[in-house]
Amino acid sequence: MKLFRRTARHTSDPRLDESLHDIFEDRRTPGAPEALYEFLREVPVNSAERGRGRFGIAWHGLGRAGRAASLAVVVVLVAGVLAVTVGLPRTIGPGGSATGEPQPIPSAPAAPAGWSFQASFGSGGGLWVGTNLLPPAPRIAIHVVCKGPDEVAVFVATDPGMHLPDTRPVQALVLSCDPEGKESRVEMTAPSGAFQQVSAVGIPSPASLVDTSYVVSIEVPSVTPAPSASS
Amino acid sequence: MSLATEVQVAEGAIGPAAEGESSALSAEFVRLAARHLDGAFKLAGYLLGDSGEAEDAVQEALIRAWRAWPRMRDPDSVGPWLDRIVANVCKTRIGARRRVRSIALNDELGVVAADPFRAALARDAVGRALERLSPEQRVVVVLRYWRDMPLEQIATRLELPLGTVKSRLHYALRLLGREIDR
Repeated sequence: MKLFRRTARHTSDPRLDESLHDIFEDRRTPGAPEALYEFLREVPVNSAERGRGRFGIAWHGLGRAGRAASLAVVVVLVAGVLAVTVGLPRTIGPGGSATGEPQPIPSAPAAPAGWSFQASFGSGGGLWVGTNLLPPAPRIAIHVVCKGPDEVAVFVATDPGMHLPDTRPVQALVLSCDPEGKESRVEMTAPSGAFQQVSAVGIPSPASLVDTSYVVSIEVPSVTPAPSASS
Repeated sequence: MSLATEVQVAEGAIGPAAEGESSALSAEFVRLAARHLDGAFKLAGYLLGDSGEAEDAVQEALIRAWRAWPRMRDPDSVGPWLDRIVANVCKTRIGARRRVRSIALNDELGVVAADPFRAALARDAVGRALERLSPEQRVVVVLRYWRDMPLEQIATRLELPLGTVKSRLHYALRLLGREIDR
C-alpha cells in the first residue's frame, strides 16, 4: 500500500514527515478481524442489522476476547460521559440535593436465605469502584441497590484487579436505576475457576442532572454445616 | 459543507437498497467489500484510535453501503466509496465523542493500552496531537500519510474541492509542526 512511503516528502519539515510516516506504519496495525468478515457476510442476509450495541444488551458473554475488548471500549465511553456529567452542577432535578452535596450511598441489601454477605462497595458519583473477592468464589450473587436517574454497569471477572486486558474473561451487567432506590439481584456461576473481582461504574446520561448513587453487594452461598459424625 | 450533508451526499448518490436483493447482488457486495475491508478497518482505526470502535464504525459503514448497493454502478469505485462512508461514520463518531469526552480514564486504568491503533498514535507528540485535529483535518492527514494519496486523489475520494483539502492539510500540519518544535 505504501510502496514509496519512505521517499515521499509531503511537508517542508523532514522531522514531521518522518514522524507521521512512523505513526502510520502499516505493519504495526492489524487488518480487519475475522468477526468483521463474518459480519460482512451477514449484512445482506439481514439488512436490518444495525451493528453491535454497546449498552443495549444487558449481559455480555463470558470468556470471549472480543467481548472483553468491547467492554474496554464501554469503559472508554463511560469515561467520556463522566467527564461531562461529573463537572456539571447537580443541584436540580428529581432526587437531587439542594445543596449540591453528594447523594448518600444506599445501605447494602440483606442477603436472602441460603446466601451470605461477603463484601460491598458503592459510590455516590461517577467514580469507578470495585473490590477483589477474598476468597474467590465460583458462585456469587450481585445484589445492587441504585438510586437515581441513570444506569450502573457492574463488571465481574475471574481474575483480580481492575485492569481489563483484551483477553480477560469478564461479564458485565447494566442495571437501570430509579429515584426510589431500585433493587436488583443476579446469581452467577463462573464457567471455570472462580470470580475474583467485581467493579462498577455509574453511566450517567448526558441529560442527567443528579448523581446516581448505588451499592453493590456480593453474596456467596451459605456454607451448609456438614452432618455431625457423632450423631 | 457540513458533516451531515457530506454523509447524505456520499450515500444519496447511490440511493437506498430495496428489499428482495438477488443472491448474485449479495455475493457481489460481499466479494467486493471484503476486498476493501482491511483498508476500511485501518482507516477507521487510524481515525478513531481504537480497534473496537473502528470495528463498530466499519460495521455501521457496511450496513450503509449495503443499503446503497443496488445503485452502485462502478465496481472499480467500491474502495473509494467505502472509504468515504467509513470516513463519514468516523467523523460523526469523533464529533460525538468530543461533545462528551475530556478525560482519559482509560489511560489511568490502562484499559486499552494494548490497542494497536492507540499505541501507533501515542508514539510521539505528533501522534498525540492528531487527536486535537478536527475530524475533517484528521481524515486528510490519514489519507495523505497512511495511503500516500496525492491531494487530488484525496479531494476526489472525499468529494471535496482541492482547495479545501489543501487548506485542511495546511492547518493540520501547522498544528502538528508546532509539536515537533516544542
